[in-house]
Amino acid sequence: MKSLWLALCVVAFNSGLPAAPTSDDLTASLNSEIQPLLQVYCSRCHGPETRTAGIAFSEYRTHQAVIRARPVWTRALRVLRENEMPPAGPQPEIEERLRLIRWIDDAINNLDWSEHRDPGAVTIPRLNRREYNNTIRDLTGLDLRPADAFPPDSPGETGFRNDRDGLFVAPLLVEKYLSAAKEVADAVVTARNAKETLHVRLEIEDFLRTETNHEFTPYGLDLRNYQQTVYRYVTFPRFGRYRFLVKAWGASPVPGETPGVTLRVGDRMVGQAHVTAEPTAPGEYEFHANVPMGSHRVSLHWFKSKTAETSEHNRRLAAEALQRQQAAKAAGEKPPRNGPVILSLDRIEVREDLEPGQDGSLVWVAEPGAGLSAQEAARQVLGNFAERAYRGSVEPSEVDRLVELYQRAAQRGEPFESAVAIGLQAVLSSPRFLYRREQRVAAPEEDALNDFDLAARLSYFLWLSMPDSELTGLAREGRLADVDTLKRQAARMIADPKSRAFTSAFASEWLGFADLGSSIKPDDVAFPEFTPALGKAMVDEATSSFDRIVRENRSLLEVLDSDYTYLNEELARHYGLEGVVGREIRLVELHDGRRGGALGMGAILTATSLPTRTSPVVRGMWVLETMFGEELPPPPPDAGELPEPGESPRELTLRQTFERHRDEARCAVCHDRIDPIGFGLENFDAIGRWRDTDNGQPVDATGRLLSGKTFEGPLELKRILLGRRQEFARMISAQMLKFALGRELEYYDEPTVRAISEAVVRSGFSARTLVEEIVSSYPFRYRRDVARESD
Amino acid sequence: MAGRSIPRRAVLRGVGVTLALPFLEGAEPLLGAARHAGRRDPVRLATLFHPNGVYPPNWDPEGAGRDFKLSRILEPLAPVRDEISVISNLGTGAKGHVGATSAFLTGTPLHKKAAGRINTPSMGASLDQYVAERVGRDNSIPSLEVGTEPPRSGGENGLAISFANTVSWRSDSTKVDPEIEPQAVFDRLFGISKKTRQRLEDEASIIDFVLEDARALRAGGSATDRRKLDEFLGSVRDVEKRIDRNLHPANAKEEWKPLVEPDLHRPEAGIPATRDEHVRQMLDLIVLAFQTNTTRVATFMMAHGFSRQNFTFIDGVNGDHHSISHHKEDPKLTEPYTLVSRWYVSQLVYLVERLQSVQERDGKTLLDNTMVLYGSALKNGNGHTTQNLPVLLAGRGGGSLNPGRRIILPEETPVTNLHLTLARNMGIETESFNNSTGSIGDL
Repeated sequence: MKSLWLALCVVAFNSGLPAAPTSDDLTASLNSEIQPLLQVYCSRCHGPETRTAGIAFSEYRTHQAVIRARPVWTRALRVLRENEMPPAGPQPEIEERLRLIRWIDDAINNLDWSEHRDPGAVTIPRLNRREYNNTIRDLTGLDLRPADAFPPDSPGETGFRNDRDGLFVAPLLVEKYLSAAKEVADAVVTARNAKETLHVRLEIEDFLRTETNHEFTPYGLDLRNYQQTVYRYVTFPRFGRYRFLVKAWGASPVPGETPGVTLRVGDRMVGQAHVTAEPTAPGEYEFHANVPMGSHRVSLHWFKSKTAETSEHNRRLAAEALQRQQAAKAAGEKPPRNGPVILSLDRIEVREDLEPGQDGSLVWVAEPGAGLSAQEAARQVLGNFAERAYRGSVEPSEVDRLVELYQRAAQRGEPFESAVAIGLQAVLSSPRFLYRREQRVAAPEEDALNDFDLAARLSYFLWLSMPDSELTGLAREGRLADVDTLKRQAARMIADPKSRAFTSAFASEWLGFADLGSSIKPDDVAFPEFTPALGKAMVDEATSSFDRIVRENRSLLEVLDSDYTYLNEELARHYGLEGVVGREIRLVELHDGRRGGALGMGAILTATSLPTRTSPVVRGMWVLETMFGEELPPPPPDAGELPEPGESPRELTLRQTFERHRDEARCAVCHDRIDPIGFGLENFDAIGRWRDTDNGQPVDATGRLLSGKTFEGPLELKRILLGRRQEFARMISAQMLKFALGRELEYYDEPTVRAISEAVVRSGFSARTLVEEIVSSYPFRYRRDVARESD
Repeated sequence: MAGRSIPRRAVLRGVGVTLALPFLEGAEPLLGAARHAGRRDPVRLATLFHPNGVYPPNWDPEGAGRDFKLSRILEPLAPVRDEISVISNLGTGAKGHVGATSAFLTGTPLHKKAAGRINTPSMGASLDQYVAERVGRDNSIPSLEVGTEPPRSGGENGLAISFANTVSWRSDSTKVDPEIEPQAVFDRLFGISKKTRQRLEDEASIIDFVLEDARALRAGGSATDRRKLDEFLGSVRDVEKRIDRNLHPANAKEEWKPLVEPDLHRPEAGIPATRDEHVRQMLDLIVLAFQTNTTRVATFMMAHGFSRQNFTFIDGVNGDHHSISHHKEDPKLTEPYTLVSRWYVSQLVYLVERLQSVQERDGKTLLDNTMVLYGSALKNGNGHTTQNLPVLLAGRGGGSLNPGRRIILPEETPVTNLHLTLARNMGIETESFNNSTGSIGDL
């Protein structure tokens, strides 16, 4: 029976739009035919008093009201189609059910969308941390990343960190804006006078140590435990980007344990590295950090971790240790203890990363001299800076106000640069810089965005930064409104390395692994193998794979399944794959179906697990919601929890434990949809390693989906999921449109989402088509006129 | 713009804002901007932390009341004997270096969470932070935390050793790291001297500029844009008030001023070459901070709570402090252990003498207006015992302390009973502090 309904519905969905009913027609039929049916079959739970799940159908009296609540009615349509509702009580006749389905489908899908044309309004966008850092980089030529010190941005309703409704401002942030503006302005001044730079070589003998138990070796200093901290203070001449080269070697007689070095500046961890260089050939381990001006503690720490990354020297030490133990055993003696895991430090080199173009020349476009007064030079510098920082044209009166600030400082005797710096500071503190104004409409009757604002939308979408001179030039000439120009620019921007900011932000926030390694972390006792380096490699794998799809215009379906991925040695070994050597992440071809595609990636498998174990429910939900856009209701409040590992009955796999805990019908409604998918991924443990057993029992990764399709293991599951490509096209289109606009989608965006996803399907899932369709779409190029906007 | 800004600031001043001072790096309040109600000299509280415990037979003095005899470790106190009291029988019952250190000013040690195996503290705020939160808002810096060692890595009983770099906890989950570089401490206290006022004035004119831009942007925006920009405007005005307060301290007439302006000398960058020099520079900075009333609360980790500092610079000591603290009653270790303890105690003598040398009003010295709590979180380093802790009190706390005695409390008195009493002496009206069972009547 269920399949009959599904078949009917598919036909209805694909049959095009025969004579779309008007809004008035739909309001009339709502009151005459539909409300009476809802009253009989639904009002017991969804009436004005009960309002289960917050829904009372009696409140909907016009088609307009229905379409504004499109998500509610989309869900209603699905549960009616799939016979999930009403769950009990009198059931509608087949004809009645069909009538409801048809009406809702017409009312929310097959209507005349031209009556609901609206580009929507994006709340005035504030730069988020990433956008702030990138913008400062492109504005000054200095990669200072001052926003790293800002409070984190919370993702809004869309799940993206550029969601303009999710970005708030508190006094603390304004304080940070002011300090950052000062730091950046000072850095721009010192960059111009960058004669005095930092380049020092610090021998380890000159460091302070919290322990003095170990002597210096002729080479340097050996560290053998966690407790030792080696530190000294270094004066950094300016707020800037510094490179640290730590010269060291490591030795470990314990198989699978490798020493490492942690570098901190002040209380902040800069980075960690496994030290696999051998005593005869010490390695140089490189770190980069932005450091504020002044004296800061630079400290080095020992750590060891369970990792596959090791050296020949270590293998030899381990073999020797094993031999000694076996010899002792054969002789009936107590086996000797393993020697220590040693990190040997020689020296650290610190130097400022000053690259060409980092001399502040982007800012210092004029200087006082022959024929140019200091004030006129200041006006040119500040006018140019404001125009670029405000991403558009600047009124002369605005420049006057900046010059006034300059003058006041110049009058009290500040040198030219530092007096101009006060003006730079003001620009960087202004809401004209911190917010992206989208108030200027080119032609009010059309709501088309002004070219400068369109250039900014484009660059914050694909670069998460300010427009470059080519975009600004096109905007100035009024040529960006042309759709072909827009598409060509999008292609150019994707080809630019700066688009990596887009691919990694979009992939990590959409797929939900943006916080892996920070707030999402496996339990370090249960999974000591999950090192920071491994977590980073996992994130790199997932973002590089998505980046390749976009950059090389490959099929978007490769998000679901691909015959390649990106690995380094540590991650490859983690996956049980041989032949990848070294720390660098690189493209690797795959030959079995286990990996490849999001469902085989450590980042996603770990982010969808609990700290101590896998969660088939979380993974199943992730697939349905993130890949296919299904909306699942939250569990009832008394649903209960699974026991922690170790507390579960002996010799049961997680799956068996799970099935015992789920025999109630009210749970089965959703879990029959969710769990089989999650169980299909049980071959991956909570940190994404392949496993054939769980708790000593073989893993059962077979499943039967609600559709009746059966599968065994992740490979077959992926094949089945690839069959849902239409829903996937719609999901990725909707998600990327949200990201591009920085807002949640509304009912009136429906025709846009449909048009984009249809174009994506037609193009054979071309990534370029998706981006081009988005930048040329109506909501991207237009904006609801401010005057018409209701609260 | 400048002309217009002045009257508006004057209006702001009239409103009498009483916000807590948000800390802004590099824009430290000006010297002398510290406000203190009334003209009486304030009471200050300093804590000196001595790591790794002591060898008990060489610490516990004989006798009680005024007729007690200084023990070997306490001998260096002879010149200031009348200014200090030895307090016996305070304890915490905490376990290990990390737990004990965390309990020293809280009474409630860190615990590792059994189930999640996560180092989550479940403790109360420490005495210094508790006092600072209640009386510190009248000073430029609510409290000063200084040390000599960076956090050390590693673990002990499932707790991170780095937690033992401090005794200061703002809440059960916020530890306050001590600053170990003298120059950074000086800059935190006094700013980078003259530049600060200029910078505040520049910030004030930038704020004017920003407010004007925000208003213009708001005027052209939609209703939702206006709400967003109101949020921004409100935050900018809050910051404006802070800058205004720093530029124009309220009640300037009633402002407390030191009797003698101290000579401010900014220390060199980096860590001083010797431990003696490092500790003394920090003690000097505490005296300066108290003398100028820049803060009323200071905490000094003379070393990390799990310190492995090398003490071979003392004759007769060959090793690091932690290793010799596990002395197993071996005289080859108890003797150097005692010598290290004497070295720590002699630092207190230095502080007491420095405080004594600063004159305040009505013929009193800074020491008369200060309470110094000195002690270790462990009694015997060998067994990590945490009852009958080595605790000293120095100074007269504005008349609330009566030093020069050995005070023997009932056995296993919670250390928080002492904290409660000190908090009250700082002018805080409270009946309890963390796990205290009562105050101490006669100090």
